[in-house]
Amino acid sequence: MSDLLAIQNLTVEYPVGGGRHVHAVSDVTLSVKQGETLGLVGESGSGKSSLARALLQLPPPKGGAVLFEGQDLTKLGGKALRAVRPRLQMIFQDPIASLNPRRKVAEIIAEPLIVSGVSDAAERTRRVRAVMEAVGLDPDLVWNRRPHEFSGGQCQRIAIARALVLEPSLIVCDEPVSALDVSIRAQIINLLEDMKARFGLTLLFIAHDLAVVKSVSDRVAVMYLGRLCEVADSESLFTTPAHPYTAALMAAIPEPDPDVPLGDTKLKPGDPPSPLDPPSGCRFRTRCPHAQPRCTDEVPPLRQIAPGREVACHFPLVG
Amino acid sequence: MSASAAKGAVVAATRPRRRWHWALALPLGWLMLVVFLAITADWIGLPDPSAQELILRRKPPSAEYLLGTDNLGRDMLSRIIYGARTSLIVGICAPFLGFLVGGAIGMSAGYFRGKIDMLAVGFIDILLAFPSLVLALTFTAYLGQSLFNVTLALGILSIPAAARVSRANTLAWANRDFVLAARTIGASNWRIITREILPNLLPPMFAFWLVAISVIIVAEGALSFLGLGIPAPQPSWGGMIADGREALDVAPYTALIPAAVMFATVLSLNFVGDMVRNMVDPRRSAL
Amino acid sequence: MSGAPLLSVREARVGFFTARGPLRAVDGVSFDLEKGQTLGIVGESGSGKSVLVRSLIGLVGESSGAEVGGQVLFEGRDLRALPAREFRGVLGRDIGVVFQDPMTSLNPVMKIGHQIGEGLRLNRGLDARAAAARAVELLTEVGIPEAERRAGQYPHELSGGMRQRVAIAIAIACAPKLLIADEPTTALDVTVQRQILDLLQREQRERGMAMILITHDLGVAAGRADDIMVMYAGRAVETAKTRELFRSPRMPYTEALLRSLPRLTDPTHTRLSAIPGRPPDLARRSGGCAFAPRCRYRTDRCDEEQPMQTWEGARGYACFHPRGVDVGGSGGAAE
Repeated sequence: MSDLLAIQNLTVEYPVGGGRHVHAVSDVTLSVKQGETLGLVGESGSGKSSLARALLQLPPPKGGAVLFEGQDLTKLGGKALRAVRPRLQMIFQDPIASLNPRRKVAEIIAEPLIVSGVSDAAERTRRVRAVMEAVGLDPDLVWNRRPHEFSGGQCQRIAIARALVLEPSLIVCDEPVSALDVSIRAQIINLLEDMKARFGLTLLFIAHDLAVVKSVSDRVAVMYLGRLCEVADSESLFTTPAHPYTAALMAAIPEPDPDVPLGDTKLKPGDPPSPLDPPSGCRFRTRCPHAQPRCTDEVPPLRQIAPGREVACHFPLVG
Repeated sequence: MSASAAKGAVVAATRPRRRWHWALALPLGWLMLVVFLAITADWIGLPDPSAQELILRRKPPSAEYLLGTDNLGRDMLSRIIYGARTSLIVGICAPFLGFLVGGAIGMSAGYFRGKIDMLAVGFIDILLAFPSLVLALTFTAYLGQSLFNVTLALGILSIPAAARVSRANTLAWANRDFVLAARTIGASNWRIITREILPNLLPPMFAFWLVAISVIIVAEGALSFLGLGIPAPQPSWGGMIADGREALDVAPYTALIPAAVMFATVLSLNFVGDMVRNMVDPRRSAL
Repeated sequence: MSGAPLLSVREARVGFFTARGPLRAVDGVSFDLEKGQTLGIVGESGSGKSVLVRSLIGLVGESSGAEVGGQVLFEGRDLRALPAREFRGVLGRDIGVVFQDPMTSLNPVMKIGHQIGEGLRLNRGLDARAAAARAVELLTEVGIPEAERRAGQYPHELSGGMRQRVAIAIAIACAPKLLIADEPTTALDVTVQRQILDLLQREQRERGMAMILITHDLGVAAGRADDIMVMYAGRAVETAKTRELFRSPRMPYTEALLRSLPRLTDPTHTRLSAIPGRPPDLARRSGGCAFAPRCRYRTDRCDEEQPMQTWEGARGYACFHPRGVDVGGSGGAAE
């Protein structure tokens, strides 16, 4: 499989006044293969959402390259970038906020077609109806209604329809189910899996819920405080985590099974540091149970420890 | 985080339909009456508002002169109604002008941020720093007193307020995910501003415009009171109050009647404006 | 079970009047909580779990436009019948509360040491100096380093996890007999959530407090609660010992919910068994079981008749077709 998307040395920083910067994403290199689902896991402040927005050039990153279908998006401007955008869509966490409250459902889903120059109204209607049916919305029932008349799950279906109508090759899903009710989540996850198969999509699936990520991802990347910790296929990542942070995350998951004993995260006490002033060397060292002096002095590079497994740690747990 | 977002969904889905409020009937009725009379003034058989009849000056209200006559013997009712015309033209057009210019400035500032925002905020602050009445006085004093110039002066004065309202609302809407979604499909800035942001901006701007009308009516009154408003003999409420001031001891009604009419109109506008603003309040609207 | 339970709730009801008509947010919920035990209340948004608990401590009531019914016995005393003054006393001394968002439950302009000491001065009669000293002890106890310096800081100077620790310190300051935690970790990250839940559990055990843990996350409840009450559309649909509930749920809703969760043990791309439809609109409820439209075991009776709570000892469920129970062919073991 070839890489559909290759992120190279991506860096995102935001000024926050007083000459200080949030180091949201630092030197991240990551690729997404054609047809796969790459899960991106991290807690708040890990930079996973900043990474997603930067690769969509919303706004463009401070440094690095984003190669999509062979083109470097960071080098494209205005018109050329707008021409690529339809191939690269996004689904947001809060489905209600991602839909314009003053527009009708049919208008919302037709908007991408209008923007990309489908001028034949009958053709637009046909395609909007088709995509509505694909995501499980009844066109006749929803056509003229507005987003606030729908529940969160239904709004997420509308957002998915809008992302699909241009038949993109990559969809970035930014926490697509975490704002939804527990009994609705499985519906939306299944829908995304179905759509992926039907439209031959590649997905970048961002979430903090590891069980959800495991369920949909072929490979998983773990981020902590703006840096990549580990990239691996999901089976090996979840059975034998190589980075101490991945191990802590796994141990912290509250399993919906009282017979599974609570794991030991082995974390040092204390909260995650601020991305305004990240620790030197390995950013996880302040909470890491295995931290050594070397971790303070030296940033651990992301290196391959087995075929398809990369880890950024001086003292990985495997390999 | 997830639970509260989902909670919002439930609230939005069960948002009650707004019901007609009876308290709105009185102020709305008064405003409709004022507007109706101002429009139809020429056809309802009113005496000429400028016709002087010095013998009949300062007549108290009677069957012939429903609201009496003023210092120069002109029919008060006729002058009030023609005055409403002036007040409404200024009151509606000046903020409209201000909102067109200020709204555009505020929207560009809130949407593009950065340098454009800094320039716009600087411009607004400079406009606000001018003592507003002095600015209007200077304006009409130099360019001459006419309905057009007074409207223009007051319109310029309403730019900063309009720009602030539109900038604040644009800032709030421009960060919503649906704007980001529009950009991911390759929509141009122009399309995003007109299709995604403007429709959400209009309701709060409309509510604010209603309140601005009342402020401008009072401002026009103040200008006329100072003798720099609409030139005589064209009647305006502010001008009538100024004229009536000379005879406050002998014929107080010549000042008090136009003052009362202005009071009722401004109060009604504020009532309706508040009501509309509550309806479009982002916290209570669909989102 | 020896003696009377610490908290006994009978037929709790909370109704709201909305523009679209009356709405039953909580509809006849009963439960007992023994001293030192943890009850997990699990439900989705709109299930009534938060409204129920807020109505118990008077946060939802007449003043907020709600109609509240039922009986709430705390140590045998009817809280709803107490004069306002005594009720406040019970709340201050014997019941502590931790909310989801510490940023809104803490006062932004008051130093955190002072906020912790406030309850001690009010309810335990400590003087300012003693309260301040105790506040520092409490901060240390909930795991805040450099407690003395932190006591002089304001909430915005702390991280989310630290703020929730402060909120817990406030809640346990007066050594309450009951701690109510309303989605205490929903706003926090997984690793921080783990630390906060550990802290709550440790404090509860050391102090012998009872705890009501409200959550939408079955995983959180599984690891921490002795008993679990599942709520759906304002009703308690299943109550059971935690292990029994997860091992053999009676209520089809609980069963469906557990099956719909993605599991770490399943291979990638395992199809989830989703629950069709969505939770009902409470203002448009008709008779019958609220879960019926989404239930795979639905019969005509479910649409017409509201199932009452059935009790097998301490275990209760509200369903005509309970799973894992032999009731003459209509139910039977799950599949």
